[in-house]
Amino acid sequence: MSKIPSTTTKSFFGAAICAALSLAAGSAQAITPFQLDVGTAIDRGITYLATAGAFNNPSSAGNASGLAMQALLEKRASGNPGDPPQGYSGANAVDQGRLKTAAAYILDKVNNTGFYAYADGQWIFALSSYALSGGPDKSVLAPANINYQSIKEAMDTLVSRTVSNQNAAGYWCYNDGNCNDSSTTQFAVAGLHAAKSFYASASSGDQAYADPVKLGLVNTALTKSQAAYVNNASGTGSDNGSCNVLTATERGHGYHPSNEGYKPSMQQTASGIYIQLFGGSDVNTPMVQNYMQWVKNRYRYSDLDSMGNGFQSLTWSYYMWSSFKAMEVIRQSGTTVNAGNIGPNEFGTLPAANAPACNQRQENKVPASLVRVASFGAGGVGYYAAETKGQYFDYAHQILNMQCADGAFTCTGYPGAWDTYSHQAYLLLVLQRSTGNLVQRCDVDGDGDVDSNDIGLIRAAIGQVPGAGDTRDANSDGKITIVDVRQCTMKCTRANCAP
Amino acid sequence: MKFKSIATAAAAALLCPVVAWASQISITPSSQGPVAFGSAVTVKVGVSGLTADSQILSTFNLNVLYTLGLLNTGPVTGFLAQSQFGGAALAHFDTLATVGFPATADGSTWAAGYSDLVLDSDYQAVQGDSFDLFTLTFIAGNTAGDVFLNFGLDPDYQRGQTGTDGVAIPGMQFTGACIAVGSGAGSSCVNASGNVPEPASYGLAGVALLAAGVAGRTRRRSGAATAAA
Repeated sequence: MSKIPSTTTKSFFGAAICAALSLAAGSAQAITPFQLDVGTAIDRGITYLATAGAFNNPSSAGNASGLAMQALLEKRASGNPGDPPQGYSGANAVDQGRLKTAAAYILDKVNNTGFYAYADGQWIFALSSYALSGGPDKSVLAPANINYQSIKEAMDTLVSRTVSNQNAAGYWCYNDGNCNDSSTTQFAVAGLHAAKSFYASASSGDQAYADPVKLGLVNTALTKSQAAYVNNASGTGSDNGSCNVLTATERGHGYHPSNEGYKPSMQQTASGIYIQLFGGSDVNTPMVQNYMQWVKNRYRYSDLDSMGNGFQSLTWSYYMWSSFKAMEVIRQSGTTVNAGNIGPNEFGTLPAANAPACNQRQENKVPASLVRVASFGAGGVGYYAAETKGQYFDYAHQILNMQCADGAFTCTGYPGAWDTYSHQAYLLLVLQRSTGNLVQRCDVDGDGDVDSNDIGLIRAAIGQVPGAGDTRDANSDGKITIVDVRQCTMKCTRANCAP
Repeated sequence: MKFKSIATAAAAALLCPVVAWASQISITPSSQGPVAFGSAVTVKVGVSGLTADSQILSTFNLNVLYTLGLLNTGPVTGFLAQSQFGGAALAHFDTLATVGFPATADGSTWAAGYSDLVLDSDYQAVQGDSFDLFTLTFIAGNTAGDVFLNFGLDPDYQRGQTGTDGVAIPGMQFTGACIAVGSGAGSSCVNASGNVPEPASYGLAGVALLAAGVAGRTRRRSGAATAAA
């Protein structure tokens, strides 16, 4: 009987170990099964909106058309955080056609409507994202139609009437500033935050987008709203008596300030986090920490239980995006969380029985213990084992379970919604890790392409700390390094990065 | 027998990175001197082992540290990788001077490079396994001693580099050099051979030697047992 010489055996095993190590290293960028399923869910969800006419002109989504358009702009290939949003310039011909009709609808409607915080906030961030990702202007969409405004004209109209309707306390009401409504305020703030990128941009459509005067107005409005959520932070519990224990520093916000009879709610406390961030706070700002503590201590993803100021059965998806967006803004900022502070990845890590006790608090799902969501194919326990526990998996898995065969998120576990279009878009935006402000990574000078001028600016900025959504931080790691130089070079629009 | 297998596997695993990841950025010559007080001494910084890893070097951002006093200013005195970065029109190289910083004598020197080549395959067409990146020229001070030239430890700003797919080359090794200043008496640089290992490499080598020793000891015991039987 022949035997393999022992030295050969050792070499074989040594080589096998080396090969395994090499494979492990090489698979670091691979798309996981869960990320692939997320990609499928995004495609299905977009198709559902398209079939329902959300991207048409006129849009069947009406006042939710901005959310639907933002979801189309932020379409990504999968759930991998490295997959960029497509924007207009990265979209295929079908999606570009959809985006053009969706933009045309807004450009047609703006001068025929008055201020409405929900719609205007959405239209501002959708139109800004469309413009900054290379979407064509009125001269292409409807050159002879006098009812249409250009992108800059529409943005100016929307931003001016939004700013002028903010009340002295920093809030908005539905159609004016006559109440302190947090729900409408978060839409107005989200829109104005995107408008900052638009007015600071060097890009242009039919007119140049840059506008220092408008930028100043926007900054002032955002600062006022930030102050509103600091000044009116509530030290009371929630509507659920079993989750009513507060630590000394825990603060929240309801649909209205607490002096108007509202206890903090899940969705408005979460919104209050990014409203403060958009006004200039960061993760280490004490009041941001206080709000994060409130949400962390009541963390939920399956529903809002009774912690939604009575709107919990209609606003789950609203909460899902606002609470995810708040943490994603922090993650993308790259700001180091100071020792002892709550970080953006800590939701779901506190057992319900731990102090402060809250029997509605949920813990992170365990990916390795779950089977594949059936509508995406067969897969037993462990199919999603490659995923990391955390907020994204909790939310995305919940959303995948809810998707029906036609792409609508209204099946398993659906808790209800105020509006089917906004519900659909909110959940797509969570799957897409959206912060509602799409800026084209690497297009540093904002001229609609990536070329050697952009690369030179990134190279010169190595070592600087990027801001939120910084176009120079290609890999969103919170640093500007030589890696960003290379990753942006690989996105150059023309051969050899020619300008 | 089981113990022997574990020891062998441990040794193999420790040796694996050498086999699987050969890419190295190093300073050459690894040792030189003695260098007379006030004399100039030049080293090259280069990359090697790219072919074994199926890699390219698409960017670098390197900081070389030295002992101020033994060596004084150490500016970049020439870039040598223009062709490997696509030629003069596409290659971009920077030193402190080119980015507008004064050449301060702080015991460090810096160089960075990138190219307008968009595709990894563009690099593959012009790069081979090994090539020099740049030269550094130091002026020896008036104090005798050994100077160890090493790369800073920060992976972003002192050991920055990318290979294929716009990410850092996994397992890239960094190797410094040693220069003897003065008479060379008692120098560990003079007559040294091979590369100058870094502190982390000493630790790894120690663990590997320990594992190899355990394997050898186990093999001898096993052989003795077989002979006795």
